[in-house]
Amino acid sequence: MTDSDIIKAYKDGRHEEAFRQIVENYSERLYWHVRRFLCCHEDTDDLLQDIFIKIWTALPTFRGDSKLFTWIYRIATNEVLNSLRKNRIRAVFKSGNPEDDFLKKIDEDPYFNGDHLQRELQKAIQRLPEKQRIVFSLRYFDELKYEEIAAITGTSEGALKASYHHAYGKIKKTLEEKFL
Amino acid sequence: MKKDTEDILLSSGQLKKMPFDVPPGYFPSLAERTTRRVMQAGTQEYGIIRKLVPYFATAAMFAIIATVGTFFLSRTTGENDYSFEDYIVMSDSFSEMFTYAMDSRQYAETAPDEQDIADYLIYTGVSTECIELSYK
Repeated sequence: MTDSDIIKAYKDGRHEEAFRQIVENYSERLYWHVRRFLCCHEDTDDLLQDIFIKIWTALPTFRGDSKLFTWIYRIATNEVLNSLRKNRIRAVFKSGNPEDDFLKKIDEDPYFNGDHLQRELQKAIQRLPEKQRIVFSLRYFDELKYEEIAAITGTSEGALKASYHHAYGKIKKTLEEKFL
Repeated sequence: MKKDTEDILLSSGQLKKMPFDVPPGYFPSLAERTTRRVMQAGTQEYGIIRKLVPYFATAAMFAIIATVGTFFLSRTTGENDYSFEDYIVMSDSFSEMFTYAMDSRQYAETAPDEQDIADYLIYTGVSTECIELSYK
């Protein structure tokens, strides 16, 4: 079922069917989108459930002004940002650094199956500021167009290009210092 | 070791893949599990409430405007509520100029005499010489 079929099914009153189709089409993509930020499988799974609850409750307000894909990614990205903020606040109370927590999670993750370069890439991404991390993730891994990223993040294409350029440069430099 | 000119981020297609596994059978069960949990946890009433929020906000705004407006109107149009004593108290705060204006109005009803005219001219700053000249 395509996005337009899903929207049509929802408008025809087949709400649950439309939602099941959204979950089927998007769960794996959203899982990896979230996991790039949270690193740990358990946290990702929890947040993914919350994201789908948000999508279900907000679905009646979807007017079709944007693409369904963009709308879903916007909800997911906002939830990821909220979760990162909560983690930061928790870290303040624990007198710790959330970045260190994420780096530790990457090192200790039992599901990690990559090589040393991939591990360092994940760590370099975690060191980026949030906005750059989002742009880098959506552009480099999901290979979305700037136009699509702009619709998801609500940022101008020019600003996104600049952010991606900065993020790309930082990561490249970090990796080259270690591997070249 | 890679060449210096090579872009390390483009050197391997592997880099774009997520280097993490998921527990066995996770994705096949994810859709079913998620749908079940969402249907249990979240009704779409939130969406209806969210739709009504602009209407509640508009009603609240009008209520605030009406309350504030009524308050100010009651403060500015309550002159008839003043008692005679209130007027006496307020009259103490009138300026000398205003007192003169009230007095002159009273005199006007009985036609001003020369002394009134002289007082008025002195009050408005006309020099004594000029006044004397005008009487000659």
